[in-house]
Amino acid sequence: MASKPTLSKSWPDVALRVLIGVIGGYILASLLAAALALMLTGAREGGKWGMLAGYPVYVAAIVASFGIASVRRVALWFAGLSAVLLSAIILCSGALG
Amino acid sequence: MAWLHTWGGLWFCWLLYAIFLTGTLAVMEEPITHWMTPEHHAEEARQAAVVKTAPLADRPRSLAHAVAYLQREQPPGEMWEIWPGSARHGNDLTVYWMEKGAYIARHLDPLSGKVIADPHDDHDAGRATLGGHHFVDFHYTLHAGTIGLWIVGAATLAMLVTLVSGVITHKRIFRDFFTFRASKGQRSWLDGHTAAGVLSLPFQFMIALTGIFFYGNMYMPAATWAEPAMGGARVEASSASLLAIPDLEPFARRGETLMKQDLRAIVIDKPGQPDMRISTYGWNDDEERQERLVGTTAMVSFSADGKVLETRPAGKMAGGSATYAIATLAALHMAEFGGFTVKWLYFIGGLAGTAMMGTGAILFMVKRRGRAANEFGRATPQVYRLIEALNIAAIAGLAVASIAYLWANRLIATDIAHREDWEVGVFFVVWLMAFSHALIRSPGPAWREQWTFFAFLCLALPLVNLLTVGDMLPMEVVRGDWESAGLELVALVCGAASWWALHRLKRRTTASMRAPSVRDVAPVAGGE
Repeated sequence: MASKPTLSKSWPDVALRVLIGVIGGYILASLLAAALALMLTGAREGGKWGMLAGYPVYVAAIVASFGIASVRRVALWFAGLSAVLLSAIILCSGALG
Repeated sequence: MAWLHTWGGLWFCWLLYAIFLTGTLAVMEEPITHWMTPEHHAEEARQAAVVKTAPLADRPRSLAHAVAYLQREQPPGEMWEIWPGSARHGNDLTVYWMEKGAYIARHLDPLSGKVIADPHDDHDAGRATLGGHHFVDFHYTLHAGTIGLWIVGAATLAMLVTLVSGVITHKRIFRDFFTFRASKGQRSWLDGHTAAGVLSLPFQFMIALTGIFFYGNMYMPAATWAEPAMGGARVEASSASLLAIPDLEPFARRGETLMKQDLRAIVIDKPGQPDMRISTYGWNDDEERQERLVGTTAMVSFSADGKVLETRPAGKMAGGSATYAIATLAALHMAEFGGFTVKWLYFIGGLAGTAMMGTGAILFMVKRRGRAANEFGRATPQVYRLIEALNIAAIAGLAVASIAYLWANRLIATDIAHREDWEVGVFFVVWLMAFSHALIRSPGPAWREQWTFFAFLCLALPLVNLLTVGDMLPMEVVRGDWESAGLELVALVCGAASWWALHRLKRRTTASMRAPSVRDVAPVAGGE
């Protein structure tokens, strides 16, 4: 049976995870907040819900950047989720005119 | 995940310890301020008597005086606000307006309508001091304005990450909570760290998350930027064809009936304009304030011709559920409900969180005293030395600085200029001196000396109070001044606890020196 991959403790690996987690996580959380702001317009107070949802997502993103075995996989996950949220923002912006 | 918990926790632990400890002290802002303003105690009693016995100006006359003053002295702007006072809540008449973004107040004589000095400005009655507000300011801004807000925000985020990673790391988290192995060196520190953390875990998650939401839009403005623009164009106040301000007393009476609360204030939005709006706000009594999480009072808005535009019951918010959620989260952080019972629970929770951070910081070095991990290569001994000094300064030094702040309040002359800045200066200078002391002395003696000094300052505080102000603990208890008595009692308990801990440590160190072959003598904080 293949052994479970372990996190590398080399400095480049750790530094990349910190960067992806802190910066990438902030971008991810901001995109989510913006998407919610555009989806829940007017009285539904999407901006406020977006702000409230953003922080737990930011924390989860930083923790996840150290929970996933390879840095490459971390980067791919962040990029993928960011792309989905960006698409949602573009769609909602288009719908709102 | 353990790496994230260790290093994410370490680099922020000193700052977080300071933020958490000052936040814990900030819960007791009012009692601290009360103790630090002894001259005001007699003044407060005098003013309470004056309010009860002063002739009550009738409200219609007060409101008419207020409107006349505002119409005469202030051009119509965005908002006028009038607090007419009442027999129950104080017979003051105060008017407010906005001027270049600032909130301006004037106090009027309710009988004559003339401008008077602030009846509560008893600046001349005593010493200038920030009081407990120093701890509040430090807690959320580090006394550094917007930069401090950002630093505290970053530290709070690090705390949340460390909490989550800590829970993930400690797989046997609930079993470990019931495990405490005393006198086992590193294991004891780990058990203490885990127990303190798990005991207060829900509180810590709540306090960190609610804290970050205060300035959530500033840290992450994306949602605000993305939100589609709301509302119409702003209408500038026009000086032509202004509407007369109607008699406000009927609005006050109708507002009280609809709010089911006594009138606190009347706010006139766009005074004199066709879309002028007159809103009445109520008073929450003490029981309502304690029972409700969100402390908003009731409100009713009228148009100029008396039509009801909006009503808001007490404890509710204008806006949707998100607005209410944010207000609830803010109220949870500020402990503005439940009276002193909740304040004491927050105080205990805060101390537990502070203990968790302190034990974590100490555990880092306890692990490495026996066997260095060489994380920093050749610089490892120097970095470890710095971490030891930071631990001492952040934990013991901050405690010394906090009690020194209270000593400064009693010892600094009451009539010097910028007295409140001198008190805060003493806090920071003592803290800096503690750090310098920790760098100069080796860790063991530094810990012992700083905790000894802390114990002395705490135990001698009531004596300083007696010698400078002539007040003492038994007298405070007899006259029912539990705010002052409570502060001094807590200081005595802290001093006694420090003294007892130092005495035990000395006995154990003496015993281990006599029996050097004792197994499992692991280094403890204060050991050499």
